Amino acid sequence: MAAGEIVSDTGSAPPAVGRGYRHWLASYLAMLRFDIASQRTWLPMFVLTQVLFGAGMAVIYGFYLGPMAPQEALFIVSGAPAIAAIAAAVIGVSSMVTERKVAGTWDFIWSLPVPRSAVVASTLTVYTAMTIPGVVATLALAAWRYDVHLSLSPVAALDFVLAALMATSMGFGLALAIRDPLVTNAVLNALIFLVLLFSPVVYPITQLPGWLAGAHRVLPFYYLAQVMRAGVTTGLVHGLGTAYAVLAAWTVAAWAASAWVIGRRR
Amino acid sequence: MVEMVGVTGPGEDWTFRAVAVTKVYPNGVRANDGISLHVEPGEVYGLLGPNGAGKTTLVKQVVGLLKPTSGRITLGRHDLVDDPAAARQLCSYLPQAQVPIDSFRAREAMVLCGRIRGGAPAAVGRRADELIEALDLREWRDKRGTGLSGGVKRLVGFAMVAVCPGRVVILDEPTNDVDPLRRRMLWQQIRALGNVGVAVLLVTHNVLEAEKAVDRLAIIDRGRLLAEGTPSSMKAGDRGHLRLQLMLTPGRDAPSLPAFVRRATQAGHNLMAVIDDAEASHAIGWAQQLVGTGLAEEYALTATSLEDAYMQLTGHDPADGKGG
Amino acid sequence: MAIVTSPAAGEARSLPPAAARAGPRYWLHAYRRMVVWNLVDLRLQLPILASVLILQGAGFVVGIGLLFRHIPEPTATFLVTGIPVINLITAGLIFEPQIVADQRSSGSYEFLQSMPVPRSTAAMAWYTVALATALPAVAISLAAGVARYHLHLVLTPALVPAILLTSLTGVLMGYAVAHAIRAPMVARLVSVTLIFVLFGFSPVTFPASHLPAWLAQANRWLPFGSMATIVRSALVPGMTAGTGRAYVVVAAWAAASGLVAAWAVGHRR
Repeated sequence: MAAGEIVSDTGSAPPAVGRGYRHWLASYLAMLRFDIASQRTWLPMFVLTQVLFGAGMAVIYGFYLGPMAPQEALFIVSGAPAIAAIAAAVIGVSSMVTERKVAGTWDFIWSLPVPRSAVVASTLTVYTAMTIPGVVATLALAAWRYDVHLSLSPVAALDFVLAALMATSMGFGLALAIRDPLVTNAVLNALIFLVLLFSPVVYPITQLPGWLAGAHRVLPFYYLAQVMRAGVTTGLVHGLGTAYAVLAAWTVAAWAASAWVIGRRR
Repeated sequence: MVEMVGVTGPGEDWTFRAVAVTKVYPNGVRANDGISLHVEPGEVYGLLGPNGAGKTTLVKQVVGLLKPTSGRITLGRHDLVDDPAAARQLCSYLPQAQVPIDSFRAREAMVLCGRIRGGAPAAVGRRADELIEALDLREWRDKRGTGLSGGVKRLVGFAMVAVCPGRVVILDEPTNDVDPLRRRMLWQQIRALGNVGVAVLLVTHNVLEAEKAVDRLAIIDRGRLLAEGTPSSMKAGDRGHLRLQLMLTPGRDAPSLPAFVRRATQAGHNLMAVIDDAEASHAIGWAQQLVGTGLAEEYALTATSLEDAYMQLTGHDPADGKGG
Repeated sequence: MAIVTSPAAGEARSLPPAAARAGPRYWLHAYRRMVVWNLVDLRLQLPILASVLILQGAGFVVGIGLLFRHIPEPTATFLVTGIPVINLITAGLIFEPQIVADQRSSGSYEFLQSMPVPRSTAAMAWYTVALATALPAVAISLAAGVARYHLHLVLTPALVPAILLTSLTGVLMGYAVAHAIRAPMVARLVSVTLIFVLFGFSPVTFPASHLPAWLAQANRWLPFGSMATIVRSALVPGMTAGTGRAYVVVAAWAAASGLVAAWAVGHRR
């Protein structure tokens, strides 16, 4: 052994700087372990929030409307999963992000020798997966409550996963962007109802006045509902291509915003 | 002036006493086991011990954040366990965690704390300025908490507690993150608190500093009070001993220890041996021989310190402990 | 023992030694200091929170009109007079559990719990601040509702106790949730659930007749519908049916939450 060489206890060489996609993949897998461990705390909240909002919102809308026609009921039931996904994204993911902010977990995570994109990819993977059970439960509950039969299309699973990913990305980006945890949570909790009430998720977009409908042709909520609705109904949804395109644009924007927030040094 | 109940009369007893304090958590962990100690007004009393020894648990029971399973905690004629509201008024507490002053400016936080304790605005303001000078915090006087480093926040936290101190001031690791120069200033201010009659309870893992700043100390481990006394009395066991420090050469075998070495510990390449005074010349001879043959790089002969007593009692290297 | 600071003629030169103080004057002194503490602690967030509540209230008022083209006056009156309750409750029930959960996560909870003030002053100081934060939203939501739907509302003196009590109950419920539930996650879930029940399963913005019978019956005992009743009866001339009972229900919830909150902060492990 040469004089002055440091030998660590494990007898292996000191860590080199990792590069390349193999390093990325290894980092991603390592972070997956971390995020999966953290889901134990968060999963109950996710599921409960989604079922509460998804099924709950569907039921509430019924209170506001009173007795309704079967078509309306179908619309509500097929829109409930989108509400559940939005609730999970906005409330669930943002709570997790702000909790980590307050506890200093992000400082720890960002100091790890892993590419930040791997961290984000891992978090989005795990939390998207956590959205699925709640979405499915919501759909079942709503269908049962309104006694509606759904026609599941073969791509339903894909629709749901993609939509969930998009919602999760947006919730993640939003929570990262707003620096103050109290403000983030206050804003989201206070306004979530308005967002859900005034988005054409459980009722057709034609019901909104011109300018609001126009706004929703740019915002992601309507399209999210359409994508998920397509998976459980036939003939109800047109222009699915546009829906996916707009959602993809929003998702990329969310990723870009997240990357910018994470990358900047204060 | 606010109505005052229980104002000090001449010669009133303000001794702090913990009597057989035991704390068993619901999960069965025995964090404190029959700890008894007392602190006179004006004394700086240190609580030393490794991680998880139960020091923080003990002090939390004083200010009413936890309740003892058995035992008494009194301050003069006030029973602090029976009356946690009075405990909070009579005692000041600086916890280990950072103080929540993100939105507060440094001086603002100090003044508000002083006013909460009943101080008049002008007097509190002057006292805050004195502390800012004494701890060299002028640069951050009007900066918000979010812009302060950990060490500065710690000092501000201390000032918040010291601006209008209680009869007992509890400081849980006050010098964490503080730079060495300001650390000395902090010790001076802690001593200043003692000089006005405050009983200071100091939780620390920093044995060497505690040695310099406390009047008496207790070593706590696994919930029990192992030893108590002044720093010199605790080193008495090692009276007549010296400490030989050897920096061993990396990559060479550790030398065999001659008979006159009473005990030795090794941390990395540092070998510390305790020897009798009388063997000093033999020890130096041996050390020089080691250096000559290249087994050691250098050596030093010093007086024993509290660290050795600490290690003997707890079996822990004080260099390990951080927090607790 | 007293700390003597640098002498200045004619001013209080020394700081008082610590003593166990009591009495109403001390309580008021501690209360005032805690109001200041709350205001400084939240000084960066309160304007935003107040704005969010305004957006919540006014947004609801305007949005409902967009969704349902024609809203008859009684329905609009019912809706608009229920929104203040949502504003008042959000401040107490959503903000405080979040604030306390953050304190627990960041480790500052213990410092605040060891402050030398009676616990009730801390609670009442927060109540004051929460109420003040929500009042602009209440005023603006009502004004927006009156303007949008051409309503005839009357500001009767009964509005004062109605708002004070509603806000107090919301704050105490939030306090109880925030301090009694140790796990921040569970606390968040409970407060989100409660606000959800408020929004969707209580006759606050729509009449009880829209709810299934069992839910309408349950709401006779839950606080939210009664809160809406007492606020509504203070705004709508001649509408006083069931107001007395409603006050009792809300007051009972305030008392029960207060007891739970007092136990939660006073109880030592």
